[in-house]
Amino acid sequence: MAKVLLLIITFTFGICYSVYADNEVNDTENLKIDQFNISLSFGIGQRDQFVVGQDDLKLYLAPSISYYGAHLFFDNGTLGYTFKEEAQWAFSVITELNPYAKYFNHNHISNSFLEFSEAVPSPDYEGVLDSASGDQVITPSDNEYLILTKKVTTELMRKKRISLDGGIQLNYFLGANQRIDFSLLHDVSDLHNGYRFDLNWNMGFQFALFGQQPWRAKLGLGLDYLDANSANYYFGFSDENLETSYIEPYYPGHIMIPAITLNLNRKLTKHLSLMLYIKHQNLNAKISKSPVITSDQINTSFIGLTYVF
Amino acid sequence: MCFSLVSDFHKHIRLPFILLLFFSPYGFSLEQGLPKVNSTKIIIEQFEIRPLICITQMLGNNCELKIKLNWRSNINSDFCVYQETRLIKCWENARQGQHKETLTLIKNTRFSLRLEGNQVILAQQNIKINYTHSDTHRRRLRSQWSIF
Repeated sequence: MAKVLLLIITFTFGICYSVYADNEVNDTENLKIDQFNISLSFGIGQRDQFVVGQDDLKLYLAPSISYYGAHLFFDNGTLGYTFKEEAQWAFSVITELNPYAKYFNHNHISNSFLEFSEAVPSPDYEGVLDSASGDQVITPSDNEYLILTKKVTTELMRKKRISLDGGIQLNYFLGANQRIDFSLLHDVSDLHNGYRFDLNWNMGFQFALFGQQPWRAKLGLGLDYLDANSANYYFGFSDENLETSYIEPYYPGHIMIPAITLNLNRKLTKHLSLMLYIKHQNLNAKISKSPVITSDQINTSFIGLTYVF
Repeated sequence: MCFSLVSDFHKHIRLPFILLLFFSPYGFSLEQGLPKVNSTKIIIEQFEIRPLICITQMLGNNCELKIKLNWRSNINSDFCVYQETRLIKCWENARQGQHKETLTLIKNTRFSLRLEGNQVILAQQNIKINYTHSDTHRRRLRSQWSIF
């Protein structure tokens, strides 16, 4: 996946590119005030699952809903109020459901948006869970041990709830095409009382390929920090709520998750455009050693058409 | 009692404070004002930039414009023009000058005329950015595909 991403980035940068012209309004980044912006992307994509007991999520539909008033805004699940917006920066307070909860809890609003998507069971796991009982006596041998381990961890992962986070956001604009976003949020729902901060750099550019209509691209580099409370809640493991105990509790402590994203977009008609989205998040050893985590990365990709209503 | 305490406080700090101002390297001097060259006070007779307004679409968009600046002083010296803290051009032993340049601005920007190597601003002008879409559009503040 990383190689594919590197190839795409090299390819796109290899083409003569230019930043957006200043005299045109980029209609995905500059939105009309007091108007709902609704679009629906349809195509094929996948979010590789990295949580024990879960399977790759096939993506077919991806809606996008946003509304920006003079100060108030809602953008795909994030509600915010901008107190001050200047040429180079904007300061807002925001609230949103914890984005990491979506990997563990299917009731997350992001998953609701993706409700037409389909989780595909992995062949080596399908049908195994039903045959295992949580209270059976284990002779820790081979396959049975593995089966029960999966069942125990899966049951616990189902109990991970979604926190509502609230905090501040600072956007710093480096011209019309580059932006640094910083947000600091705290669990205001009193679930794990954790903090997290996100730092993201985005750069937009465009290039010509296969015709006159330009491709718009957006490259992003991000770093999320989760304090020990947040990280232990979502990435940690404790079977204190179960009578059986086969797995050592695990708490990763505070963690950092770097990410790289690439979004390509090419307008076909006034309402329709072609889009490609790739996101790679790296999970370091503190996370991947957790008994509830099965991979050291999270990969999301989607290719399809976007219809703007 | 309170009044007495405040009065004493002022009495005790007033003298050291005044001394500090005069003897500190950051203190002020009554002589300080416009710089002098050979005891002649510099008078800037003209410092003009055209245009003083740049128009772009959105808050945060780059605003590109060609400026023309003219300045004139009463005496010859080494003068420099700055865009905020960036040096644009210096003139040696001159009493007037003009310059044309294409600039890209993102916010209201101050231009100043100073003596070379001196931070004192002799004259200044501000170029203001006006927006055509500021009442109708806003910049997106979150990533469009955060749903993923």
